[in-house]
Amino acid sequence: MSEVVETKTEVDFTESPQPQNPKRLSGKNSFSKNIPFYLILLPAVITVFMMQYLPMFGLLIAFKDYSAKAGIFGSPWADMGGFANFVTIFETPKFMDAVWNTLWLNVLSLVFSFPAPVILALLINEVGHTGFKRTVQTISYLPHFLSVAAVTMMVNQLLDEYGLLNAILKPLGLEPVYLLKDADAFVPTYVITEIWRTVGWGTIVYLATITGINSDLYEAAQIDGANRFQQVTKITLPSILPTTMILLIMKMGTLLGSSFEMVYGLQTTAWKDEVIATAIYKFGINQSEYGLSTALGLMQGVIAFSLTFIANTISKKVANISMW
Amino acid sequence: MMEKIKNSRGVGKRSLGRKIFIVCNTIFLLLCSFTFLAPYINILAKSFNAAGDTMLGGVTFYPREFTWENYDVVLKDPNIGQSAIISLLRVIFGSLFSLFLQYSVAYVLLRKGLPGRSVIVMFFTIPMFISGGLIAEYIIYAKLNLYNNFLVYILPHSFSFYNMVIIRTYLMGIPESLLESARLDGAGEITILFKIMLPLSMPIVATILLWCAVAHWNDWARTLYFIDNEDLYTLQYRLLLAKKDVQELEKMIQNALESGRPLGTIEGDVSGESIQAAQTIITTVPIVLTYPFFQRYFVSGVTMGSVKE
Repeated sequence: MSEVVETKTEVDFTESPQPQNPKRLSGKNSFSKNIPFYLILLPAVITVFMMQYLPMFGLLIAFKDYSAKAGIFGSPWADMGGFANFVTIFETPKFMDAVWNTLWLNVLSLVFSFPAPVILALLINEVGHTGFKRTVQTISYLPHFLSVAAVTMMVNQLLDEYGLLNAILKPLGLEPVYLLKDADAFVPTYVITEIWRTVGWGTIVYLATITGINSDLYEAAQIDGANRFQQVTKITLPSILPTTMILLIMKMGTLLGSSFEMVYGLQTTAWKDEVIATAIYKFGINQSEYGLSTALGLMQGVIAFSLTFIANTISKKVANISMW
Repeated sequence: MMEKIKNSRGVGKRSLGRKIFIVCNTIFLLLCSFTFLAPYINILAKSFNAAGDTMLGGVTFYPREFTWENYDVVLKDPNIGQSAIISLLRVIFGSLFSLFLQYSVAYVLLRKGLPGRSVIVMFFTIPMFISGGLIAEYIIYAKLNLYNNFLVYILPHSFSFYNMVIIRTYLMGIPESLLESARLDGAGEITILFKIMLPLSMPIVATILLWCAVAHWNDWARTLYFIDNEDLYTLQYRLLLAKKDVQELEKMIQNALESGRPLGTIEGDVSGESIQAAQTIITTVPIVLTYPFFQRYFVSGVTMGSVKE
C-alpha cells in the first residue's frame, strides 16, 4: 500500500510546479483540490494492490527452492542460478506432456473453432427474414450463457452409454459408441464442445462488422454484374479481414492457456489428459510442488506474450493490421 | 435499415441457384439451432423422467415417465439450499463490489487534469498483462486469510480494466457543464457521483452488473481453488461435484461387478442421472430463462469493445 501512495505524491511533486495544461479552466488543479478524487479511487487501488500486485511477488517462487515455513522472501534461491525449477520442468515427462497437450488442443481448436464463427456469421447474414435471423442468433448464444460445469455435465450425459448420442444412433441402425470410456475420444470431444460453446457468440463481432459495410459497395458490384458469391468473396470477406486478424492475434496469446474449467470439468477416469492449467492446479495445490508449478505458469505467461507479440509483428508487416 | 439493404440486394432477380442456396442455408441453420438446443432439451427431458426409467437409457427429447420427484429430491436437499444462498450472495455482493470499483475509477479518470493520472492508468493496466498465477495467488490469499472465506468470491479479480473503459466511454457522453454547474452550487465530488452521474448512467450500470452477475453465477473454479468448507460451496460447484460423482459411481459399479457384489448395495449412495439432470436445470434455469431478454446488453458490450478505436 505504502508504495502506491508514495508514487502518487511523487508525481504530484514533479508535476504540479509546471502549468498542467493551458486549456484547463483555472490552471490551479492542485493536489489538495483533487483529494476527493483520490479518496474515491482509494478502494480500487487497495483492492487491486492486495489482490493482483501482491501475488506478483509470488512469481519469485519460480526461482526459489520454496518452503512454506521460510516464506516467499526467506526461501533460498533454487540451484543453477535460480533456474532449477525450469530445468526440472523440461526433464519431467508429466509437465512436458501437459505442455504438448495444451499446444495440441489449442492448435486444433484454432484450426476448427476459429473459422467456425466467420462461416456461421456469413450464413446468418444471408438470411432475409428478420425473425428467423434473430431466433437463430438467440439460440446460438445459449451455450455461452451456460456454466462450464453444466456443459461438462451435459457432455457426460450426452455421450453416456445410455445417452442421447446412442439413442439417436440406435434407430439409424448404427453400432453404439462408448466414448466416455475411450481415451482417444477426449481431444475430439473437447474441440467439438469448444466449437459448440463459442461459435454462436463469436458471430457477434463479425455480424456487427458486416452490418457496418457501406451498402454502396454492394450496389456498385451489382451494377458491374457481380453475383452473390462474388460479392461475399470480394467485398464481405475483405471487409471483415481486419477484425479477423485482430481476433487471430489475440487467439495466439491463448495457445498455451487452454480453459482450466473445460479440461478439468471433462476429465474422467478414462480422459486423463492434463493441460498446463490443470497440471498447475494438481501438482501445485494438491501436491504442494509450488516452485515447479509457479515456474510452469510463468513460462506459459512469457510464451503467451511472446506469441501475441510475434503474431502482431507479422500481421503489422504483412497486412498493416496491429493491436497496438 | 439493414432490411432495406437486404431487400434491395435480393428482390427482383432471384436466380434458381439463389433459391437453392436459401433453402439449403435455412435447413443448415435449423440444424445448427437444433444442435445448440438438443443437449439442453435432453437434460430437461431426463430431469422430468422417473429416475429408474432413465437408467434404462433411450430418453431423448420428452420424458417417458413424467415425474416431479427429481426436483423434489434436489430442492429438499439442505446442501442445495445452502449453496443456492451462497451463490445468490456471491452474485449480489460480487457484482455490486465490481461495479463500485470500476465505476469509481472510470469517474476519476474522467478528470483530465488530475495530477498523477498517467500513473493511475498504468497502475490499473499492468495487472492485465502480468499476473502472479494460481500458486502465488493461493499462497498470498491464504496469508490474507481469504482461504475458506466468503470474501474470496468478492475481492479477487473484481476490477476489470475493460469494463472500466466501457463505463468511462459512456460517462464521457454526459455533458461536463452539468458537473461544473453542480460544483459551482457547492456539491461535493461524492454527491455529484451519486446524485448526478449514477442516475444518468443507469443503462451502462445495468449492463456491467449483468455481466458480472452471470460471471459470478457461472464460476466454480474459485471454489475449487480456495474453498474447503462445504457451507461455502456454490451451486455450480455442487454440480461439478455431482458430475464427478458419476465417475465414482461407475468405478464402484465396475469394482462391484468384478468382485461379484450385488449392485443394490451401492446404488443408493450416489444420485442417478435424472437427479443430476434436475440439478443441472435448477443451476442453469435462472440464466436460460432470462438471457433472451438481457443478451442485447452483452451483445452491445462485445461490439463496443471491438469497435472501440
